[in-house]
Amino acid sequence: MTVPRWVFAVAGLGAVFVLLPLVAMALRVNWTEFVPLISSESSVAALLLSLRTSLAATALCVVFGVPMALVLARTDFWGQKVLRSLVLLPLVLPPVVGGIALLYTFGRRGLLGQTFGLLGIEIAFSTTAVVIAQTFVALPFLVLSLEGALRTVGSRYEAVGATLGASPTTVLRRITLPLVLPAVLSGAVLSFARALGEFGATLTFAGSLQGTTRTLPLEIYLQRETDPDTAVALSLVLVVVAVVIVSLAHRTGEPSRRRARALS
Amino acid sequence: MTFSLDLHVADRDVSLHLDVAAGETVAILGPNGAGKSTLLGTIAGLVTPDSGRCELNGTVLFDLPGAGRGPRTWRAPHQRGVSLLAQEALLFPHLSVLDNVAFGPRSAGAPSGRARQIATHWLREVDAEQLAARRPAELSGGQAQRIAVARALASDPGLLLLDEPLAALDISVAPTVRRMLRRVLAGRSALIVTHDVLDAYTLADRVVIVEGGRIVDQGTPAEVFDRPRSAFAAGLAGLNLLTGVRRGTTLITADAAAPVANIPEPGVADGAPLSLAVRPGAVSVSIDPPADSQLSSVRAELIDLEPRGDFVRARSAVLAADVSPKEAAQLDAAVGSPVWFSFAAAAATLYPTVPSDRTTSS
Amino acid sequence: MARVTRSLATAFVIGLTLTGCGSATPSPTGSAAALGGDITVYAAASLQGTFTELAASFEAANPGTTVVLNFAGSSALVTQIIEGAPADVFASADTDNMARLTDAALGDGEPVDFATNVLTIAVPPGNPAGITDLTDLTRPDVRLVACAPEVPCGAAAETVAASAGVTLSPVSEESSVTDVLGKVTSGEADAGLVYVTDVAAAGAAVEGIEFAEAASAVNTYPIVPVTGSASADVARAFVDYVTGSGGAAVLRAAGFGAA
Repeated sequence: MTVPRWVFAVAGLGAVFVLLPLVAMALRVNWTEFVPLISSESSVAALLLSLRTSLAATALCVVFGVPMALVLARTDFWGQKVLRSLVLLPLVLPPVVGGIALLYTFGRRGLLGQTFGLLGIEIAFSTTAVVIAQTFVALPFLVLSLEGALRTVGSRYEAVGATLGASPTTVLRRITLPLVLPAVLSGAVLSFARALGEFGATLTFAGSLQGTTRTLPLEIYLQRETDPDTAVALSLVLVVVAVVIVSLAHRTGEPSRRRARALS
Repeated sequence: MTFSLDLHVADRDVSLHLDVAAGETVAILGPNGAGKSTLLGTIAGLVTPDSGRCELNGTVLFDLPGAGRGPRTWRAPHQRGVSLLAQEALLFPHLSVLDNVAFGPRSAGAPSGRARQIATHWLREVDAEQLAARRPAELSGGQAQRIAVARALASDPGLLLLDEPLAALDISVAPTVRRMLRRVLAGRSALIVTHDVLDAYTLADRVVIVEGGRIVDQGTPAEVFDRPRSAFAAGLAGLNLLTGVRRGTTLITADAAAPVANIPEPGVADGAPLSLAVRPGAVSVSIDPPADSQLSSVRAELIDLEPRGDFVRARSAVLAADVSPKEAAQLDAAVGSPVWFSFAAAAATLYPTVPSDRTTSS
Repeated sequence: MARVTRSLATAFVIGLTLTGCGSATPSPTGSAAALGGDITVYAAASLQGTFTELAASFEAANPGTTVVLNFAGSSALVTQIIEGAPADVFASADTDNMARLTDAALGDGEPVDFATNVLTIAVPPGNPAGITDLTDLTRPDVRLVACAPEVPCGAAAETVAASAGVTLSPVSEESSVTDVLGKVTSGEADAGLVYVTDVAAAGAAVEGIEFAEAASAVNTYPIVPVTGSASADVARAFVDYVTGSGGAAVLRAAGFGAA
């Protein structure tokens, strides 16, 4: 179709709306001090902690998200629609609410926290808590993108595989997963990005301690109080990491769309 | 007998019994919506029927006695030894041609090298050895379907199911694939769903006509298409089918107003149900009664004249006739009026409606 | 931003306007009898309870004035004012942030100290960890939450720890007192270091345990009108009201000390 000219105008305004704040932030960066600011001990600790926890959260998202997406896309049972909405709830939930919910689950006086406490496992204020908070908010991204891909690919190849004598596990390993691999990757990248940016749930649930629970967003929030230059510099680092991740996700996502077109 | 199936789907009014002997290829034909694909899906284990029982080489594929009537057995698709080949090749897009064909042997536990050997063998069988290294996206439709056949055969199925395997192919490609199928299906137990009489003649030892959830006819292709027992089979064979009872030399059809006069010696008793099949090309149409008293004839309203390439089909409620455009032009004014349809006795086939030489199961 | 208006006061203002005995707009002569206009007060988050009350009583006492309140961390408020936010009065929770404002020449006159605040130990109701003084916070089984050293309450915590000669190892260093209190009220932490007024405001959700060393880190609250106010006379009157006896009574009741 030919896109009407006025659409370009509105789209341009939208793009400016998204990009201008980033430009404004970049303009505020103290470039002469940039490297020292982002390489301070606390900054590096926060960045490393963020990368570590986000990677762990992404791994958990894949481990739990792939089976969840499979169940949602390939089975039909009573209450499935409700279950899907609930699974996707963290997408729309304010992160602080997620943090409170996690606190009442894994916290010291929480639903599971008391049992964990008896076993000698303390989750609150630990790096584990950060990973749990990040997984909680990032999981829906993987489930959502993978479920869509599974539905697009359809189950016909799987049926063919079964009639060729492949057990359900073999079908999953040799047919389903390879077919949706691009979606798994792009879903994982999106989950990683969401985990990296996670703030509210972490602050509420995990606390904030350098090297243990103070991730990059929490460090930015804290530095903003006293050292706006550091906060802005770290914000820029986070933006750059996010841009790289989003473009990665786009690139890995493309083969799956091509394949989906080939199928239709 | 290697394969037997009893199938009941209450809400779709399906109830049929089917056997396939060792090495026999059976073609299933029927109108759209007759449940042919569902039938294959049920045998493959992809669709669960209400009740029924299915056995292959002594193994129960499923035994569903119906709600509350004994234990239910349901074998998973991958444990059935039944391969399903669909209209589309559905080659796994992420695997090479060789790995696609090797998929079955690998799933059965063959080591990678052995599986590739088997795959190479079957690729040779379908004349596609040179395609082994290609990706499915790089194949033509005909090539892909050949590979799909090789893949289905490489898994060494006890029964091969083919769901309109040539329907999606280019007309120019279908004949070679059909010849290849004839070669590889020889001596193999197979069920093939098709819309094509040529497929049935070329590939099948036996034809089964399914209509309204029941088997209405079966026999060799020649039996079923030369002496059709259903309007559907007659239509496929391109024949007029008249059914009724014999009264002397007259066939009284369901439309009692249009008896067929002067029928050849039918070989059945007076009053017995009788079928008559005749090609439209052998039927003439005239406004006046036929001069030749030897001809069989029926008077019926000419409904319309339908051009079909180099001839025109003249239709009535009883018979259709293919006439030349010149004849059609003369008949044009008679549309809506009674005319005479006539044919030579030698052009028609007469047979008892319940034949003694064919039964509903072989 | 909390807009504090009493319907009574509003009705009164309308009444005066209708009878022609007063005006809702500032009088050009600026006489005390005709005090009127809107002011926006930027105040430290810990002043929320007291300033809400003070603003209401100020409005009641000065018909024709409206006080709009904006509460946030002192640092964030100063930043906003320097960036051009429309504040008429600034009340800080510490002298450092007030200095940032006056350094930017945005203070209309000298800031006046109007209250002090000291740290206390907040524990969940019933004090499950049995905390009695500051040294208890160093016990390995006690999960302490404090403010990060970068924010004023965290700096104060470091000062009291140094004066007591103890080393605190909090399990979390939060960005605000609210976050510290949250961890204590939810029972995640055994103890938190917050201000006396925070414990008073939290009611039954936490218990406060005073300790002697708190005196080593007294937090002083200064207030000043911001330059360039359209209602400078109202702003000045509000500052006078807060620093006067009426303000002191409300502040003392909330746990603040005298400046």
